[in-house]
This record gives sequence, structure tokens and C-alpha cells, in this order.
Amino acid sequence: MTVPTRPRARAMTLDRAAPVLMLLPILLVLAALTLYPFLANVWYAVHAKDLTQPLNTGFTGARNITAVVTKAAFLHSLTVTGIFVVVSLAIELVVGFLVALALWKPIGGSRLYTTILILPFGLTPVALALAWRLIFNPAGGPLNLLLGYFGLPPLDWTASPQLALPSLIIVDIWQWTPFVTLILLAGLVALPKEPFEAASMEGAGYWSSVWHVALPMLRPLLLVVVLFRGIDLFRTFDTFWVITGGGPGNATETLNMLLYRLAFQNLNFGQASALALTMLVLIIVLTQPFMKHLVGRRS
Amino acid sequence: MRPNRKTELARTLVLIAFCCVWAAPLVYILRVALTSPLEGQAGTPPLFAAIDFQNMQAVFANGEFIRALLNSLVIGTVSTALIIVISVPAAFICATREFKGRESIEAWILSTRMMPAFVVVLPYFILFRSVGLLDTVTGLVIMHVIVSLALAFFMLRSFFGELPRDILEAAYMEGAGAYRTLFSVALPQVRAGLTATAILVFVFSWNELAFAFTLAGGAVKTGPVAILAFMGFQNVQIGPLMAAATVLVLPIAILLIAAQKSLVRGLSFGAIKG
Repeated sequence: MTVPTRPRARAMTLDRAAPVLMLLPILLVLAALTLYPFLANVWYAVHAKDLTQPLNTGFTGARNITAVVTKAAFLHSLTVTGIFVVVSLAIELVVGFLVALALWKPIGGSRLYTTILILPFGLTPVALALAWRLIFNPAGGPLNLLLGYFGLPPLDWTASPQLALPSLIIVDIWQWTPFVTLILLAGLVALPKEPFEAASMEGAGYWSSVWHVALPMLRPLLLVVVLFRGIDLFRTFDTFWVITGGGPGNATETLNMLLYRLAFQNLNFGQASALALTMLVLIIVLTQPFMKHLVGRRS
Repeated sequence: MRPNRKTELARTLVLIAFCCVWAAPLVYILRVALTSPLEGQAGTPPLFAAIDFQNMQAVFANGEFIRALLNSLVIGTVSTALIIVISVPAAFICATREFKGRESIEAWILSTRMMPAFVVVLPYFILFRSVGLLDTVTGLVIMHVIVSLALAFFMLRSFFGELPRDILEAAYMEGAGAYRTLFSVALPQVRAGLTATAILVFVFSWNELAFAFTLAGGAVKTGPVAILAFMGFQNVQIGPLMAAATVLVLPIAILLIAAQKSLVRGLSFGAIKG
């Protein structure tokens, strides 16, 4: 490298460009991986792109979107997805928070508990889903044996239209509650002590200080959890696909499963893209209020 | 708020109860995997049946499954390396500098995580088909970069954000540019966080099914795709299936436990000042 005539000045200009240079790779890659699919989806959605009819191509305008949104299956999937997301998220938050509270203050064996907590959401969902399939097995599966042990009648679990969705909610709760626990625990441990001391001076009991002191301070973190879990619940695929495949009938056909069916079973990419776009709009609208909490700089 | 014997007992009971529930399915997988194939076939072997390694031997003798694990290893390693190289500078600059448009850039990076896999799969299926990347390791590496790029960025941003300001400012004062500061001052300080991020990114690549199944799965199978081949239509071989599940999750379990401390810290996404 030759020494420039004004090294300081040159270093300064180089450095002013640093944010641009450092951000360029990630922005380019993400653009390629997201903008292209997005635009391509828009293109497919307004054209006939049915792989079973390769000759029938052409501009169809809003026909694909209308066909998808007016399908009875769409409304059904929207409901199934809604129930799955809301119920799972609510239970995961409540149970996750209670377990985090139990771990909050130092306790014997906490390292062992954390070790067990870190496993469920990291281990391969497909492998776990296969195990759950066997656990739910109505004939000879451990869950029904356990019920019988307590004198309860066996249930059909994933084979029954009424219980299939609750079964999948159970699997998700099992898999992701520890994740919620670990995040909220990190938040609890980092809280300042003074507000709690002040509260107990005023005679507040344990639960009242949890409710009035800890929870308000954890609000930003709770929003982060709701956002991340909400997005992932909305997109859940592995467990549904392995355990029920959307069935029995279409009892567990979420939007994501419907999308898979349209694209890879009916080979109707036009309608699938229209549905994909609808899902994208839905998720962006629903997460908008939470976004600024994650990117806002806390001073 | 003073801890006493009674609350401590209550907390321990709660924790033990929950950990039993969480450990049960994992114990079930191991129990079935390590029982003789005949005893396992009923679905629920007795808890204290004899340990038997026939199922494990069957899995290791299955060339296709082992090849799939090797594919997963290669794809996971390469995509993790790419993700780290791309996200480290971006996370560093967003965590340590204020510049115009930072918030919108971060919001956009986060929004890429919202794409359902199939939104991405459809166009890439058509693109890959025309350029010959369907069913290749390269194609899956490209797809797996998208899976965790945003996650890596936000985890790393929280680690860089925890660095004390004065050491960074001292480096700048001495005339080190952003890159020098990153490589000689910041990176050595966040080594644990970097390792935790890399491990989590690798884990998500190893676990990924939707892309691996739709954009590959013929000649190039990953572990999760290969294990589905164990599910026959008629009689599922329960023992070998759970043995394969064990082989699939065991390396991940070891990785996660090894990086436990920094993972737990990194998962809070800098939403807390710790």
C-alpha cells in the first residue's frame, strides 16, 4: 500500500463509508433471497401458472387471488391457523413465565434444569415429530397407556378430527415453552433490585410485586417473544406435515399446509403464489405494531 | 420477597415436574432406540427392558441415512460460514454506530424472517429447475443462508451492543478504521457470542425440512428428509426409526449443551441490558 498524501483525511472518508461497506453484503444477499421471490410471486399470482396445464399461460389479473380467497378451504385454514397461533402462544407465555419465575432466584440444580430447557427447541423437529406420532399412537402408544394407568379411557389423539389440532398444540407447547422460559429468565435476572425493595417496603406480597413491578419492566421483552413466536407459529410446517399432514380430513390444514397442497400436490403455482402473498400481507400487518420495539435503540 | 424453605420447596417441585414432562419424550426416543426391535415394535417397551444395540447397528449400516447425515454436515458448515461472514460486519456497525436509516434497515432485515418458507420455495423451485440447481448441495446451501441470516444478525448485534463503549472509542481515537476496530478490538471480545451464534445457525440448518424436502430430496437428501424414508406406509419399523431420530438429535444435543451459557445470553436479542 502506498502512503497517501493526507492519510488522516483518507482514513476519514473510508470510515464514513464503513456502514455502507459493512451492510452491503447482507443487504445484497437478503435482497436476492427475498425481493426476487416476492416479485416472482407477484408475477405468478397474476398469471396462469398451473404446471398441469403448461400451455395455458397468460395474464389473468386478480383471478388467482379471487379463486384462493373465496375458497372455503382458505377460510377454514385461516381459522385453524388463528386457533393454533393464539392458543399455543397464550399457553407458552403463561407457562413459560411461571417456570422462569421458579428459576429466577438461585436454586439448587438450576444448571440441570437449564440443560433440559435448552434441548426441546434445538433438537430436530422432524425427529421429535416422529416420536410424538408414536407417543400419540392410539394403539399401544405411551400416552394412552399412561391414561389407562390413571384409569382414564384411551383417546384417538391425532386420528380424531376434534383432537388433532389440540394434539399439535401440545407438541408445540412442549417444544417451545422452554424457549420462552429462557428468554424471560434472562430478562428477570437482569431486572434492577430497587423497585422490588421499594415494593416490599410498602408491604407488597410476592405475586403483587411480580404483577405490578416485574411484568411492566419485562414488557419490551414480552413483545419480542410474542413477535418471534407468533411469526414462527404462523409458519409452522414440520410438525404438521409429519404428524397429521393436515388431516384427518382437513382438520389441521393451516395456511402453510394449504399452500403446500396447492403448490406441490395440485401443482397450481399461480394460486399458490396468490395465497403466499396473502399470507405475507397478513403477517406484515399483524406484526407491524411490534416491530419498532425491536429495532428502537434503547439509550 | 425473602426466600424461605417453603417457597424453595415449591419452586423445586414445579421445576422437577416440568423437567420430567420435557424430558419424557426424549427418554421415550432413547428407550425405544435401545430396546430389541421385537420389544420396541409394540410401541411402548417396558421402561426397564434390557439395553440392546441392534437398532443402532441397523441405522449405522444404512448407507443412505449416513450419506444424508454427511450432506447435512456439509450444508450446515458451509451455510454457517457464509452467514457468519455476511452478518458479523453488519451486526457490528448497527450495534456500535448511529447512522441514517439504521432503524429501517434493521426492520427490513427482521421482516425477511417473516417470509413463510413456501413464499421463497415457489420462485426458487422454478429458478433452480432452469439453472440445474434442483436437488444439489449448492442449492440447499443457498437456501439455508436465508433461514438464519436475520437471526444471526440480531444475536450478534446484541453481543456487539454489550461491548464497553470506551474500548471502541479508544480504537477510533488511535485512528483505527471501522474494520480494524472490528477485527482487532471487537471480535476477540465477543468470541463466546460468535460461537453460540454459529452453533445455533448450524442447528437450524441441520433441522431444516421445508427447503430440503421441496428443492432437493432425490439424489441429495438431508438428515431430516432421510429419516422420513423410515416411515413406511404399512408397518413402521419403530425401533430403527427412533434409533435414526437419536442419531439425528444427539450431535445437536451435545452442541447445545456445550454452548449453553452463551446461547442463553444470546437468545435475549439484546432486549435487556445485561
